[in-house]
Amino acid sequence: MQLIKRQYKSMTDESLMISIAKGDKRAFDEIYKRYSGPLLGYFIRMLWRDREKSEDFVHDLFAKIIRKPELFDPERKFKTWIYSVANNMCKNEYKKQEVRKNTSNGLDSHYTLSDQNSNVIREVQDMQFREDLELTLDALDIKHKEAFRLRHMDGLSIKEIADVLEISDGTVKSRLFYATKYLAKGLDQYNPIENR
Amino acid sequence: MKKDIIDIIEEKEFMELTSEERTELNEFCTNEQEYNQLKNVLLNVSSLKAEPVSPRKETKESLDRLFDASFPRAAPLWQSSVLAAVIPRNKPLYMQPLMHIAAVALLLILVVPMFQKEINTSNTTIAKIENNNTEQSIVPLKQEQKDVETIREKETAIPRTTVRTDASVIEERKEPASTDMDLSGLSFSADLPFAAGAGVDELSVSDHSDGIYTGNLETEVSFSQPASVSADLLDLLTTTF
Repeated sequence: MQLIKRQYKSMTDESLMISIAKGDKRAFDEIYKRYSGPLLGYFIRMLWRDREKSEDFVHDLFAKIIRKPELFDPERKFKTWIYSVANNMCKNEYKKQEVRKNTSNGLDSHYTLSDQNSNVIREVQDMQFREDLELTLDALDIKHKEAFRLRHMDGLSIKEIADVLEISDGTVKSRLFYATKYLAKGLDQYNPIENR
Repeated sequence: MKKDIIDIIEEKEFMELTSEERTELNEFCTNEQEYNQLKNVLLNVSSLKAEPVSPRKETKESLDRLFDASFPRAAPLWQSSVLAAVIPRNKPLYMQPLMHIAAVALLLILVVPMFQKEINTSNTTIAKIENNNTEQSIVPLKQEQKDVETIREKETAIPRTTVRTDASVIEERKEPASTDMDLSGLSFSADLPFAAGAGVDELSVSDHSDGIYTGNLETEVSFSQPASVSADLLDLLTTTF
């Protein structure tokens, strides 16, 4: 039994997707285990920290995988494909809701800080920084914001972002630096090098 | 994994950058001050590591139901595991156990018929020997058959006793017993209930199959002399039908 588990764990995302297309439930479980959390985090960030909506989006995204696994091209990298699908879902949602939802403080109750044991001042500073970061990011246009979030929140490489957004590596770099400069101007009061 | 320009900014000071890295960065930041501004933002953002979030259990349960509905004939778990073991996808074709099994099976298919031919030839020789033996054994058998036939012929020559069925016996018994026997010599006394001159023919005949007298029991039947005196009467009385 242990051997079988290991086998699924060692399988690549792409081969798991092939198995899912054949109706392999355990392959689906493994893919879900790998990506449900990161995708939920992505949706929370992209959808105004709306946890309920993000849960629904995660459900819809994996339902797409179940209903139409053939949509995935095995020649493509699964990670970038799934993020591109998630990104397109967010874009559709933006179109649906032209008026963006404003969150009170930009913080989600489930989205807790990792450094919970640090001193209160540090926590408050981080919370304040996060709030300002979100507000500044919200002011950015979608194409810069999504590139920045994919890089810094979801940990995708420049190449992977290029794949997700279907743009060149150079364009990704350009968007990332534009967003970073914009944030630097908006968050100039925070200087981690001097403060920490 | 190769580090990209963002990783380099987070890790290195402006002075530490190589000429290649500086050339790459020239497009986005031209001086050290600008570089440090970018670095500050990136460090701040990277410090905000969020705890991993996980979807609710209900989401997964709903997806499980959807999966079961979408793949009702999905292979059982043991089949999946067997297939995974026999056809591992991460191995080349010639390394897969299924290919090995197929190769062995092919060899067996090719080799077994060769042995089968040898067995067949040996079988034909055995069959020939057996045929000879049976021909020899047929002769005494024929003699035995003849003996049996002669015995049967003898048996048929002897007249067979006819076996009478119970039905025929019954038919015979239905006939009056008095017809078989000569009762003319018998003398009956006057005590007989019927007239002496009536003769034997006027005796009531039993309808019973065993010849039991079933006449009128109220009228007494008696003889003037004991039956033992007249042998014929005794015979009549003691005759068993």
